[in-house]
Amino acid sequence: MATTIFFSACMSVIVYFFGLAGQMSSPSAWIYAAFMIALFARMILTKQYSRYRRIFQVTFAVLFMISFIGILYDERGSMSMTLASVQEAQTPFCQIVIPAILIPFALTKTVIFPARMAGHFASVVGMLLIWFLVSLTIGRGWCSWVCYYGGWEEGFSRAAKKSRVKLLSRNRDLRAFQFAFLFFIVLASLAFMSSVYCEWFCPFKLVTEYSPITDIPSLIATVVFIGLFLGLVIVLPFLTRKRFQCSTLCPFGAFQSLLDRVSGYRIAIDTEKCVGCLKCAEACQFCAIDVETITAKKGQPEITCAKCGECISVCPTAAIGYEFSSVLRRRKKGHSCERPAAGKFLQDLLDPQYLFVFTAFTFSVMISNKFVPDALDRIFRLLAGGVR
Amino acid sequence: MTERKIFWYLPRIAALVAALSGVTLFMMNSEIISRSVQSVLNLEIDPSYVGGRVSVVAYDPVGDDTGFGALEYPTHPDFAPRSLDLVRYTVHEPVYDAKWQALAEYWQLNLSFASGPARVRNVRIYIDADGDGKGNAVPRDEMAEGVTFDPAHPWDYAVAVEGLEGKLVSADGKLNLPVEVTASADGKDLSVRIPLADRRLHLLYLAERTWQYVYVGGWTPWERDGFIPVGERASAGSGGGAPSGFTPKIYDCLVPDGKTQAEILSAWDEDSFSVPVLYPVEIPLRSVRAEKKGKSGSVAATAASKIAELEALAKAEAETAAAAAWAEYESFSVKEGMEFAVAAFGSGARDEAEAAFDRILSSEPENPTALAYKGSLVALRGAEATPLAAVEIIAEAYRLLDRAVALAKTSGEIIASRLNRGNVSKSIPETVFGKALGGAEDFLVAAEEFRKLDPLAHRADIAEAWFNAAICFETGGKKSEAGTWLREAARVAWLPSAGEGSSTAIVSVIPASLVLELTMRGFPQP
Repeated sequence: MATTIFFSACMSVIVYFFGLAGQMSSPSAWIYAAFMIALFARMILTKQYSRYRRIFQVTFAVLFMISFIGILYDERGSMSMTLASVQEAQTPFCQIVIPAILIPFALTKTVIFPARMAGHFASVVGMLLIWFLVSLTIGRGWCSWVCYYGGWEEGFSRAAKKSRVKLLSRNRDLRAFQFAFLFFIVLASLAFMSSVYCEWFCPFKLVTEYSPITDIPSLIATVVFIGLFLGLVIVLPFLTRKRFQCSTLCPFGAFQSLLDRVSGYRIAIDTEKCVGCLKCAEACQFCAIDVETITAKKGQPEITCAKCGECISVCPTAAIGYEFSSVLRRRKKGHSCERPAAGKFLQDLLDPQYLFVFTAFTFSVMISNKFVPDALDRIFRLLAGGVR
Repeated sequence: MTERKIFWYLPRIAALVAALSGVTLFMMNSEIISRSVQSVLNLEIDPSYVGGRVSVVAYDPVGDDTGFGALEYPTHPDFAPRSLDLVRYTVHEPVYDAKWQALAEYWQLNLSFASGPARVRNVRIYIDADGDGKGNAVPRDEMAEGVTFDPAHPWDYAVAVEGLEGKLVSADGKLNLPVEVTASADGKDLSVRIPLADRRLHLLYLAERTWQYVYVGGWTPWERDGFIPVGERASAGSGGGAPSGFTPKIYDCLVPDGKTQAEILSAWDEDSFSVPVLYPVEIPLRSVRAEKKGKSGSVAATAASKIAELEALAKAEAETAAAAAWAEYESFSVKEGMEFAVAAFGSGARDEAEAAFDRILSSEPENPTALAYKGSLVALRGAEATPLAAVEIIAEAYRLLDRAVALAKTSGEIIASRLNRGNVSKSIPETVFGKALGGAEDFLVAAEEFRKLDPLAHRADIAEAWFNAAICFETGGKKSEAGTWLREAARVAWLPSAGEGSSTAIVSVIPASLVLELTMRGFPQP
């Protein structure tokens, strides 16, 4: 209980700074703050990390869409990308574009995306800074804890109680496809000097902004992104209980998987405790645990693990947990990583599971703090009959 | 054992707290950090998204929207003051691989006006694309606007923008294409995209330079080629101030160096039935780097001795003015009020000035001038504080300055409040506070107030305010706007005053510090 109180108090400070300070008179900000603190406290108290993470991510995805589209309507009167927004470099920049812009930037010193350069959010430098911090801390944990798109798949993948299509044996192929697709996107973006993924493949245009249909190619692109949203974000997650677009198509997810080596936390499987029931492999939404991962006693999920904590929740022997990357590296080299015995509270302070969850949830607060209260405001205004 | 525990846990907990606090602080200040990073990296968008690489920016004086010199706007309320006043014309290089846009091949031309709306304008851009002397030397609807063109540069293509509708026609009449026209929300900026997919326009990809006639009239759907007529008296459907039926219906146009708009547009002759001849502006299409070289070259061309002389003059002028101001008021008590306080402020006696302003504010807490100067004094304290404390102090300064601006009603109050806030915005680090563009706006408002008072008497003030606005725009990343106002500041500064023939007289009117700054920035005194 002391641990829950301590970490919740710390989270309250974070929520205050990011969600409440400067908008104390806003009921939406208070609702948001209460929701986040309650969610986090339950998470720490029950250790059902994935369950409460899921509640946050689904809620955030829906409210993000409401807020984002509302802002677009306020600014340009439509969800459609306008010529002026492109010409004036005011197209919102999202993290998925990052892998596509790096090589063209290195070669031409220009950014192949018409976004504004500086600012807290949705700007090129702002997103690069966030990406840098995320990569150093939670790594691909972004996908399961912070991503404002991932909630859609998270929700649809949990709409059915059981998976209709078993994909466990195809995990390796799906992972290979995701990296191949990343490779294709990077090369294609370089070849066309344009973010090809945004132009042709992003399924989330349906819930954010899209290019207007002006000719045959833009009509095809629209059909493609509607098809991808229906297929990869709704139908396949529903049938397989996997986050399908995150596991197969998202270039940022694949890119973060490659960079995850530098992040501070990993999921560790205690091979001594593991009984090989494969419940974790069935539950993993990112196709990161194969039969071979368990039978070969690798001690860690595969490279695409997004640290969502689903495997931790279903493991009957508590053999899976969060661990510091540095500890795992030291163990691999045969060094001892035992801590000196101390009181439970002191031990908990440095427990990687709490620290990871705290760090990841801090990013959740940092990214959601403007959109969620804004969406709530819009909903309240709508209910009060004051649509703008 | 206990000691071992302490040495094991303490550094780790400390490291953890530091890391989490660091992440939190980083994110809380991410906007400032991202601006700082951007100022170092100077990232740019691929030009094909945003109109193509800028080839040339041509400036036109502000306030010359009177055609031959005396044209008046129609009285219809749509014709807002200065809505036909062209101030900047930006020509981009042709783009052949644009992404995310309906037109993958285009040529973009941007026109900026002093004011909106866009719907009242009838813009013409006649282009001699090859300089071969072949083409048409009269406008497409002969005599609609009452001018002809330089026979040495007949046009090959014409772009007509009527309100927000645009088209391109060729001199031989074979081409007639719609062009994409967009206007900014305030109607000040027009962007014209000429589609280049038609192979007959591909010669523009090769063109090294073009010669262009760019002019603006009022738009009406009822007259020849959409030009609103002009007569002796302005009415809702007609401009005024035209002494003759030969007066061109052009309110503003670009003119080449060495010529003035008034002399070109007033050159009609009723006896010989001749209309004014327009001369084109030469527009290079591949000259970005050459332009930049030219700018720095002109600075380098100014003799180092001349720069040193101006520096010495500026320094001496500042010292003399400060000493004189202080000497005049030194013997007065603080009760002398505002004049004393302002003089103390100007002479650098900050403590005395603050005490005087405090005294004024204690009796008149809503005095905008005192609030403005007090705000500046607070901001000056911020400049000497530690970075963290400075943020708080500057925020306090802005509370005072914003209040001053909100309360200001008379010209004097508006000028004092705007100049104080503008100067603070100009001086504080842009990467931290991001106030430069607001500062530019303040200087422009102050200059406008000076113009209302007496444009001639306040010529130096106007030039200085425009110059400061240019500096703010430059700091805020609006390079084109900066160019416009720098050019305007130079134009006003170098205007010969009535009765002042010699250049020495001009320098005596314009402060040496401004002369120096303009010279250093490539606008030496002609």
